[in-house]
Formats: sequence, C-alpha cells, structure tokens
Amino acid sequence: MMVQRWLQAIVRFFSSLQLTVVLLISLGAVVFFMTMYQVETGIYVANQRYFGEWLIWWESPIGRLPVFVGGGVLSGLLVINLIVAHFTRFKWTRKKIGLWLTHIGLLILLIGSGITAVQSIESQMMIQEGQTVSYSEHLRTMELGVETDHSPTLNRLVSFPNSLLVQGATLTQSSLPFSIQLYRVYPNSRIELNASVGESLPKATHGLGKPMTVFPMPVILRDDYRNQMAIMADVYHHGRLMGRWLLSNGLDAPQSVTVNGVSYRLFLRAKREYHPYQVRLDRFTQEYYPDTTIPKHFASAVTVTDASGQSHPATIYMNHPLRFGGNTHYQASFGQDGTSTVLQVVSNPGWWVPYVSTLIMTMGLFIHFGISLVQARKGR
Amino acid sequence: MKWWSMGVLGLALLYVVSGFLPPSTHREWHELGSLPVLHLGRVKPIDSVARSTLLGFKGNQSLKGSDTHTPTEWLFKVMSVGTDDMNLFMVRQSEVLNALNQNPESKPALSFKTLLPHLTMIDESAQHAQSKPAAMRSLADREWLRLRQNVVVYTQLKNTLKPEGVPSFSLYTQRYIRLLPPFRTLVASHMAGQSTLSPEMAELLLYFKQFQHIAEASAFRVAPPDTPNGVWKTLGDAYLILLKEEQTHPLAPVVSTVMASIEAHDQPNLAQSIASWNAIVTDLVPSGTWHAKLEYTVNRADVMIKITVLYGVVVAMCLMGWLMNRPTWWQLAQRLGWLTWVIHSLAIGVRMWLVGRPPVTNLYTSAVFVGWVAIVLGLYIERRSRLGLGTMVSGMIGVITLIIAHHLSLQGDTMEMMQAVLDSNFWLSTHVITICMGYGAVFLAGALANIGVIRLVTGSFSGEQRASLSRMIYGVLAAGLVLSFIGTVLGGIWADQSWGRFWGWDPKENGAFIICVWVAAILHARWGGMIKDRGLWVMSIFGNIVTAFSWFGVNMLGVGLHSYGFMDQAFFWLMVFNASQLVMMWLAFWPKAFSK
Repeated sequence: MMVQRWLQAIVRFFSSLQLTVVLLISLGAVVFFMTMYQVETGIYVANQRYFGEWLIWWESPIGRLPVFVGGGVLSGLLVINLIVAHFTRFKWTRKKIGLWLTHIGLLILLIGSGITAVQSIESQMMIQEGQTVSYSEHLRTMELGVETDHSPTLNRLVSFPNSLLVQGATLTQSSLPFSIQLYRVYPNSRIELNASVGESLPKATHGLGKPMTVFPMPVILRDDYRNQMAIMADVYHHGRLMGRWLLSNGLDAPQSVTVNGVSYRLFLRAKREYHPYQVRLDRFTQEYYPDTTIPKHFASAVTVTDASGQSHPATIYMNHPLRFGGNTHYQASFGQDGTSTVLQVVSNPGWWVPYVSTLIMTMGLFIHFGISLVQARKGR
Repeated sequence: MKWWSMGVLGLALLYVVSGFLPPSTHREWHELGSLPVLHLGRVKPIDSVARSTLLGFKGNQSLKGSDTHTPTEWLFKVMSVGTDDMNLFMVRQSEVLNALNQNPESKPALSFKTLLPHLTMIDESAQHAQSKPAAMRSLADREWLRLRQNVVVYTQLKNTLKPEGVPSFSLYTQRYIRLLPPFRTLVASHMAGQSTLSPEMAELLLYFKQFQHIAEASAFRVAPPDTPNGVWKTLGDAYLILLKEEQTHPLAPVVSTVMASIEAHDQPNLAQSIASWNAIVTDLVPSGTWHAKLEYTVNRADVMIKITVLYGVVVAMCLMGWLMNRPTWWQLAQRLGWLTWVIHSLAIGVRMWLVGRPPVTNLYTSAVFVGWVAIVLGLYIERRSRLGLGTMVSGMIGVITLIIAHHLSLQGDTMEMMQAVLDSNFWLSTHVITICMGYGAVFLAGALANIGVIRLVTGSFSGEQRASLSRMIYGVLAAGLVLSFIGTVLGGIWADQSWGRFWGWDPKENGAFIICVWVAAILHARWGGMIKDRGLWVMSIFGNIVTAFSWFGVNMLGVGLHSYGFMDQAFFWLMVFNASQLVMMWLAFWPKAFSK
C-alpha cells in the first residue's frame, strides 16, 4: 500500500510541530528582511514583494532568482499545519482548552486577514477649504478614463484599470467607437514645454501635449511620493490612425478626441473611488506648541451630505476619525498652504476579524499559561 | 536582618538622599535655576533650559572651562555679559572644521568669535543641507545644521533678557518706565498736530524698537500669564504691554534688576531680586512654579545615575557571593536590589506626575521602564528560586538599561511635548506599557540564559540548577509572549481606532510581530522536544537580538546608508551587543560545557 504510506507521510509532515517551528522562524525572517527592504522602497512595494507573490525574488546581475518562499505562502502553510495538526495530533482534553482556543483564534486571524487584505481599500481625499468632494483617490493605482457628455451614466463612460496600461496594449470597449493603442507608457516622467532637447522622443500630434516633450524618469518607490505617469496614446477609428495624444496625471486637463461628431475626453489620473456622499471642508486648523515645530493639534471641520441630502457636521482630528458610509476617514496630512486637508479613506469590511480572533487568542493564552502557573505552584 | 546588612541599606539610602540636601554654596544660582519659564512649548525650570542648551552646544553638560559653577550661572553669563570668547560650540566633523579654517586635531570646541567671520558660510551650508531629504543628509550636513541651530540659539539667548550690547539694562528700562506715563499725553498732542516729534518721543520709539527686537528674538518666555486667560510672554512683550496698559508685567523690572546685578557683581541685590522673582511667579503660577522646582530638584539630585551605581553594587555583591560561595552576599544583594527598585519606582512616579503622562512617552523613558519591569520580574524569580541568579540578572539589566537611558537623555529634553498623533494617554498607558513589559520579559529570559551559559562554561552548575534555570526561562518567556502579543494587539486596536486599519506593516509593527513569532517558535520547539536546556538558552539569547532590533533597530533603519549623529553611535553599540550575544550563543555549544 504505497499510496497509503505516502499519504500518512504527508499528513505526518503537515501536522508536525517541527514544521510549525520552521514556518514561524521563516515568517519572522521574511518580515525582518521586508522591514529592511522598506527603507528603500516604502511599505507598499516591500509588502507586495515579500508577501504578495509565491516566491521572493532577487534581481541579481544574472537575472531574476527565487530566494525564498513568500510570506503569504508561509502563512497559508501555517494554516494548513494548524488544521491538520488539530485533526490528527491534538488531544481534546480540558487541560488543553487554552491551547485550543489560542489556535482557533490564530486560525480565524490568519484566514480573516488574508481575506481583508484583498477586500480593504485605502484611498485619499484632498479637499480645499470650502470645496466639496465626493470621491477619493488611490495613491498608486491609475486609471485611463474616457468620458463624454452624451453618456447617460454619471457623466462617465469607460475606465481602464492600471493593470491594462501596458506599453503596446490596445484598449477597446464595445461602447467606444474607437480603440486606443498605448504607443509608449512611462511609469514616471518629467514633462517639459518647448524643450530644447529630446528631438528623438515621440511626441503627441494632437491636443495639449503637442508642444510638450516627455522625458522618462526612473520610478521612485516611496510611500509619500507620487510618480508622474505618462502615456503616448494612438487613437484608431475603423483601423485608421486619428492621431497621437499625450495623457498624464501631471496634466490637469483632459484631452479631447472627436469621433463621429461626438466629443470624448481622455485622461490619465489616480484611480478614483466615488462615494454616495459628499464631504465639504469647512475649516482646517493647525496648532503647534508655542515656539516649536511640534504639532499639537490639527483638525478638519467638515460637513458630510448623504445621498438623501441630509447634512452631518463633524470634526476629524488625530485619533478621532470620522466613520461614515462604511468608510473610516482620518486626518492623514495637510496642504502646505494650511487651508487644505488630506483625509485617508479606508474601507475595511473585515474590521471585526482581528478583534474577535485576538480576543479568543488572549483568552486562550491566559487560560493555558494560567493552568501551567497553578500547576507549577502546586508542584513546588 | 543583621546589623551590617541594615548598615549597607542605610548607606545606600543616604547616598541617594544626599542629592536632595539643599545646596551649601552658590545658593542664588540654585534658587534662580528652579524658577519656571516657557521654553520650547513646555514650562520648565531655568536649570533645564540651561542643561539642554549646554547639551545642544557641547554634547554634554560639563561646565569645564566656563568659570561658572551651575548650568544656570552659565546660562545667565551667556545672556548678560556675553561669552563670545568661550569655547562653546563642539564641532566634530573634520570636513566642517576644515571649512571653518580650524585644525581638526587641535580644538575641542570653538568660540562664537571664531565662528563670527564664517556665519554666512554656516548659514549657506546649513541651507544646502536642509534642501536635501532628511535621509540623504551626510554627517557633515547634519553638523552644519546643528551648528547653525546652535548659533541661532546662542544669538537668541543674548537677546532674551536684554538687547545684546546694551549695558546697565536696569537703568535703561527704568528710564523707559519713567518716560512712559507722559507718553500718552505726548502722543495725544502729537496727533492733534500741536507738537513736532519731541526728543522724548524719539527716545521712546527707540526703546520700542529694542523691546520689539527682544520680543521676537527671545529664546524663551520669562513672564507667566498674569490674567486668567493670558499666555506666557517674552521680556520684550512684558515691557511692551505698557503701550496698552498702565503697568508693565510685574516681573519685567525684576528680571532687569537681576540682569543688572549680575553685570555689576552685586550679590546682595541679586539675592534680593531673585527672591522677588520667586514671589511673583509663585503668586501668578503656583502649580507651574511647584512643578519647575520639583523638576529642578530631580535634575540636581542625579537620581538615575545613583540608581545605576546601586544596581552595579548589586551585581558586584552577587559576584562576591559566587566567588566566595557565601549565600549571605546574595541575600544582601537581593535586599539592596529591592531597595533600589523601590527608589527606581519612585523616580518613575515623580516623572509621571511632572509630565502628567503614563511612564513611557519616548525612547528614553522606555529604557527606564523596560529595565524596571525586567528587574522586578528578576527579583520576584529570586524570591522563588534563591539561586542568586535572579538578583544578578536584575542588577545587570538595571545597569545596562539605565546606561542606555542616560545616553538617550543626552539627545535633548526628555520631557518634550507629545506629537499630536501620539497624544493619547489612554493608548500610551495600555499599548505602550504592555509592549514595554513584553520587551522587559523577553530581555530577562535572554539575560538569564546568558548567565546560564557563563556558569556552564565556568563549570559551576549542577544538573538540578540547570533544569531550574530552564524552568525560569520558560516561565518568563511565556509571560513575554502573552505581554508582547497583547501589546501588539492593543497597538492594532489603536491603529484601527485612529486610522481605520488594524495592521499596516509599519517597521515598529513588524518588530513587535517578529518578537511574538520568535518567542512562539521557542515555546513550540520546547513543547515538541526539539530543544533541551541548551537549545532553549541559545534561542532565548537570540531573543535579545530580536528584541533589541524591535526596540531600537527599527528606529535606526537607514542608518547604515546615510548616517545620523547620535543614532550612528547607538547603531555601533547595538551591533556590539548583537555580536556579544552571538558569542554567547557560540559559547553555549562549547562541547565541554554540556558534557559535565
């Protein structure tokens, strides 16, 4: 019975405490190296690289080499280890109830955080005093949008997400009478008006971008830095090239393309989340301790108007976010002029998972080590 | 308790208490140093201003070569007669020294006079440094910034309690006060076009200008609020009130008399005007004055240094006990350990009361507190095991953490105001405290393991003692896991409450995560029988490295690439610590050790 023996070996492997120890140490090591890597790239990119993929890669001089298993995979293995061990090795006795609770809590935490990592959305809302805003912007994800006034839906037609914005790709959509070919995609760029150099670089033939030269720049990986993406987009109508447009989040205005007498607006911008409510910044205040640059207090007085038109005034300040419409809005930053605010908007439907799981784990740890402590005292 | 044991404890107590005795010499400077001012957002005694200024200029609080006896006397010398010739400004980077035409080898500190011809260059170099992102600044860049900051502070100080270069300030202000009452009539007649600008008015305008100048250039605010909703004012503003009101701030003429007496070396007058200063602030801000006096007393008593010495004595006594194999030494060490810990607790308590915050508000206080937790756990273990190990380890941890704390305190004011984001006493007293207790426990386990390895190598360990030590370490690690875990969870809850997300992989969070995972790995390896005594000890010692990374390492991230002044040194010592722990781990595998 070869198969049975193999199966037994696999089960034994996945239920072993040795595997637990190896996984725990590996996870610690991965987090350590990720922390070091964060110095260069910021938290987001480091996390993608160490937890987001199956393997951790090293960009070596001779090519991309796998170095270690990704943190997400390690966590997954830990979950399997825990489940298999519970069904095979664990004794369900009263003395072990603490251990049992701790591990159930951990299981909920690991699975739950895996799910929330996918579900939670973080974006930012920038508002000037007196301005009303109904959307927030993603820091790192861009979208290529096509808008027209003749559309019945929200003034908005099509949005192509970040993942499709690859050099050479062709963007089409059934509701669009034209297609967009991405001739050049620069993840970061410098745009100059009437530049004296850069003759050989591709230029736009239509629109605002005509007098501009786009210089490619290395991508800067920092949590607080926004790269200026630029795209040279060729628009085709029935297979005929209509021209080349420059799209960039550095240009404030959209580009217009007219097809069949209908004017379309093309733009590249930070991906937006539209909310069913509006936020107006009434007043932004900042306060420092006297004679210092240590911020004592900064606060945004806002008025939120919900879909039914009802107003809700609120003040958002440090450690006091505003929870509204399933989102948490907290004071993240502010403009240099002192009259604008930056609110971080977080939507996290699985917010309760860590609360429940860690409560169970804490109870488990107390029970388990409490029992050990009592026994140790008795034993003396 | 034996009489000599009582005697030792009595001596220890006397040693600490002696710092609180009233000063026998230079009383006026001590009295002046205890008076409150508002400096960098906080009401503090003048003594604290003087100490942090000295630290900023010289990197230490030594008064050598200044011909003064207390930091306050030094500060007033700077503010009154001037100290342009005094070698005050420590410059360590040879690149900067070269630019200032100084021989990098010769002078420890430069005088303002030496810097004077280079002020423009200092400012330009500092501006250049400032234009770079903080992480990209070189050591020289940081030195330029520091030097400019110090020159600015020095100039501010010279223009805080009088305009620079004006002698006999008291006479000057007296004349101002005398001229003012007719001022309003003068203005009235001038406005009515009845008179041209009179000489008196011209003189007054000059005074206004001067006071305006010191109101803006002031390094600190000297005049406490004299109305219920008032604010602290600079001396310049305290005089300028006369424009609107009948009287100056009551403190203004007193401060000027103090300055004049210092310039004239008029001791009796100085003592008398300091007494009136004291009376005025006690009347206006009774609690601020009381706080300042307490802080001043704590500054002067040097309690932390004395506690460090006492913990050192505890360690020495334990060593004596082992060398001579006399447990009475251990008992005495244990008692002294408890006494010192009680004083340590009182010191933490006074500080909490002074700043009105939970015990840990910055890196400095975390060092004092982490030590405190580990020490009491160690002493408690000693009560149960009586191997002398717990006391020894407590003493060691006391000495090390307090030395670390001392060096952290040299970075500046340890009671600085809290950033808005951290300003939450609730979370400071739950999350931060629990995390620090976790650090303390994991360090204690690591320290116990260190001692275990030493005793193994020196061959003074029986099998039973070995097992007993492992039980201790296991217990402490279990406590460490529970505390670190709960601390981390509380941190997550804080993050969720204020930012809407439980976990963000921020370096400090990662550090806490690694500690939890590491301790969990040790405990699972122990349960699974993968490690015996030696393995447990080795892993616990590595726990020290893990905890040190989480506690300090993450604050130094990026140091390897672009250096920071203090953290550079701290980074070096962290590496020394890590190396020492690796050596201990290696020693544990010394074959002879476990064959015994």
